[in-house]
Amino acid sequence: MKRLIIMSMILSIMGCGFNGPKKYNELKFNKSISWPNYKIISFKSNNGINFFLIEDHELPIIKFNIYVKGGKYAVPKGKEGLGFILAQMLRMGGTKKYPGEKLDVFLEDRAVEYNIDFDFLNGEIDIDLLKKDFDTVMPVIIESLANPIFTKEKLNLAKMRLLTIIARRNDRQEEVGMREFKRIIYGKNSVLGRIPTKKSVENISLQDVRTFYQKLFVGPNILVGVVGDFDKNNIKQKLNNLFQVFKKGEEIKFNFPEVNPPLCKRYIIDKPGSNQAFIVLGHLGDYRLNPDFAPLQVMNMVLSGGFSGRLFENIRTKMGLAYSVYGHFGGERYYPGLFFVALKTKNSSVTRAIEAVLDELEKIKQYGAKEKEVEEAKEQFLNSLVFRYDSPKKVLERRLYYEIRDMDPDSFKKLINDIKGVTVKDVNRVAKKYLQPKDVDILVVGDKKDLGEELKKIGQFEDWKLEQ
Amino acid sequence: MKKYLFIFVLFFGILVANVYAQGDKVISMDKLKQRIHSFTLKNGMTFVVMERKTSPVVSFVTFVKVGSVDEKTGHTGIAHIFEHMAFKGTKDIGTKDYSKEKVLLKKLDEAYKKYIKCKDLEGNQGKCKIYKDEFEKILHKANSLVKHNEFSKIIERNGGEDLNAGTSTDYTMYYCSLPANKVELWFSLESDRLKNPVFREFYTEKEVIREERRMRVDTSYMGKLIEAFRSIAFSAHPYGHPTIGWDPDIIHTTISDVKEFYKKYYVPQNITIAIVGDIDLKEIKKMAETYFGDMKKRPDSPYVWTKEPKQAAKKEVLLYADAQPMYIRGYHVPGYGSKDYLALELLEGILSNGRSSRLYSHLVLEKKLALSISAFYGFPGERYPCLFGIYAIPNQGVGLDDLSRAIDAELEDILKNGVTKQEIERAYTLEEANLLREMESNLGMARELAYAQSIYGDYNRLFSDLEKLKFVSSKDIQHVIKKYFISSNMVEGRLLHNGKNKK
Repeated sequence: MKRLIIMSMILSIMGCGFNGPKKYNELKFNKSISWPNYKIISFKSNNGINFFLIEDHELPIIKFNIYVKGGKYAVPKGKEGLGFILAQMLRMGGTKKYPGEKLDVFLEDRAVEYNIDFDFLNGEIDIDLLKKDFDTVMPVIIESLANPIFTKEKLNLAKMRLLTIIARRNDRQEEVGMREFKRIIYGKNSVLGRIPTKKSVENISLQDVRTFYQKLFVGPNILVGVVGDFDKNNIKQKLNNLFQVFKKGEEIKFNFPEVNPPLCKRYIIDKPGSNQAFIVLGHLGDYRLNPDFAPLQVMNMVLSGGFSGRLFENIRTKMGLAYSVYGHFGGERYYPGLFFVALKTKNSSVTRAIEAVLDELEKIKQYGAKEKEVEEAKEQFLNSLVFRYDSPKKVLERRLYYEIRDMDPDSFKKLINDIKGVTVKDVNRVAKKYLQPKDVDILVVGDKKDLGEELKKIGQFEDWKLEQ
Repeated sequence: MKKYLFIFVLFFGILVANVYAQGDKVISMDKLKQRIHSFTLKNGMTFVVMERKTSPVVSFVTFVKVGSVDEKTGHTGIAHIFEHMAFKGTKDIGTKDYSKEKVLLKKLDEAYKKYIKCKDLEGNQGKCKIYKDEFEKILHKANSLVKHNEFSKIIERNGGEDLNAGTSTDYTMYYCSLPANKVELWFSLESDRLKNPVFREFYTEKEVIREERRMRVDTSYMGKLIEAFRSIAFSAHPYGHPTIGWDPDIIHTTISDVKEFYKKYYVPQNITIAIVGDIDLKEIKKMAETYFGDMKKRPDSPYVWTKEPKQAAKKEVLLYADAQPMYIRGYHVPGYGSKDYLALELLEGILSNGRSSRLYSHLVLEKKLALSISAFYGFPGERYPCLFGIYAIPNQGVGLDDLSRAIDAELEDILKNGVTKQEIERAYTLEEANLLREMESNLGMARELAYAQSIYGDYNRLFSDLEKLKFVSSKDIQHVIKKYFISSNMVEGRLLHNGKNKK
């Protein structure tokens, strides 16, 4: 209702002054714009499952986001790849009535989308169906998740798929570079850096899959998000009935090791014949709950925010050194995130590009940001906030994100307020404190022979070995 | 900038909205259509507008019917270069002093032409060095007058999202989303850049584009395979050109080339604008007239008359690399609007839409030959006769010949036994649901509407093609397989690991 009133105000403003074309700087806008306030209904079932619901009646669709805490984090050492395998097998298993591919036919005859994926901290199950199919489809899907059919045949198929992915994962420079840079920082064998290998995948047995499933798929570990055209009056009952089949059990607790990244390392991964190199450099970021998180995000925007950031402007627009250049100062809940800048440039400009990036970091650290840059970055963030609320699904997903990380449900509101209060002084202080351009590790993925002389100007680059 | 190149311009899909009965709630095609309106200005520019008041945001798509298919040999990549230049500002935006800049840009272009010709013919020595220095001197002066990225910064500062653009063989499109109180800002900025583009920072941006080419083609095995595949598939028709352009063509493109291209193709009758979100139709109409009404109508753009000659025998391209294998094949088929169009469209769905589709369920799940597989009709575009393609990634240890034979077997099976009614219905149902899901995104819907209006000539085709799709039969599908899916009409591409895994 509030939104309507504001809209009519905007329209009337436009209406009265509307005579001819205006230049962008002659236009006046109603400053405040309001967005729908989606209400989240939440409750807990007897077996410990947490439910989060948002009603939305625009279309006759209902969507589920089911999060299973643990994700790849919970995979036992030496069994890397088990998360992927379990996701695939759950999706391929089906039920007694609809085994294997029969389930696909059943679902796609009704245009149901049903995907399972395993992230680092949680598994995610997405279901998207028409309202009218709710009572026919949901019991079948829940059965396939609660009483999964794990067969040797499907295990072999899942393994074959993963081995194919492993064999192909070094074909793209950027993919290799980003993955391995993380491993340089966090440690190859750390829970934050490990990756599946041929050996670890071959090591996975049917029993491993069962054990892992039983550990993860218990009530307190499951979060269910529902958004869409459901009937508020009986949905709670329906969900309770559907999900009661999951056992009670123990919630997975996150416990991360301390990270001690090496400093000033220079590595190269050889890609013979490549006329462009992928470069990534950086160091540890910080924690999400650090009180400096908001000024760090503003600094992030000044440095690498879209078209307006310094990296885009200097490295791409002014120098023409890269098509793709981006950076990020990460803050994770349970472990320090990653600070990095990445770009791709032709072999002959690799040194120039690395120096230009380091120069940008040094500049913001030494001389700080301009008042105008900080104000514009904040303006951009605050003006685009409405897009963080433009669909109930986004709102729900954000809530689930916070729940998995045991964060205050109002974390986003708090971040908005914090960002509103950030000053140029704050940004300059955090840039000084958190950016360490002299300590960065650098990884280059490119033609070692062609780059050899160029790179010597920056230091001694050691080979970084890839695992198969 | 996450710019799409649309290496695979996957056809946007036939959208369907028939009657969804939901108890007392019915979403009917008519009801949906009621929210969509279109109008055309006197100069020929068309607008498609859809009201969606769920959230105070609006998405805008400017769709120009020009792509790499309209390019001539020696000038490939120019549509894409223009797209990049459209973010460089106008006479008012992005400059500290346009009158000075204008003179310099003209001089700069002349200096570049002199230098590049010298370099081409005399090999970059003596005189050429002087020309180069002269060019760089002017470049430096011109750059000092630029306010970098001002156009994009204005949009971002005002809360703009999704700001981007993409060039394909058939079209170029520009898009962004803004809070609903900034609609007029978009009109002001977009009309300014369409009417008064200034090609500043041109020669630096070309270096960015050459980096883009290195990224998308030179260092991407898939990019390389697709580029080679396209260029052997079309020997006469410009669908064979790489959309990003050949590197020497990018190098030789000048500001005056781009100006000429702009005058020919960025005419109002070639432009469609779609706006979806929390808007008021009357206001949009008024603003459209105010901001775009004075864009001058110019002669219609040239069209492509070249036709690809009938292929005499199967063509094949092999690429050896230190990378894992890939497989692609295509058959020459007619483009949009032909009488076989709907059957090809439905066949695409039956072959690879969803896990229960023929190729996925048989080759990925049952026979375990492929990690992934997809069929796509309308490659690399559909304004002209094009290809029906199949692209697959084999599982470890699976030879490409086995994969290819398995695809043959699937097509032969349909030719012999047809497809079931259930399969046709499922392909149809999945398309139907696509529309409903597309409706959830303003930007997605705006793209669909602009695409249909521009390429099909009427956004209503999104709905009316469905009605016709209902009448496609198993026989029609067999007919297109029999007619087009034959060896002499086929093009095959293989990426092979260092000569191993031969064919």
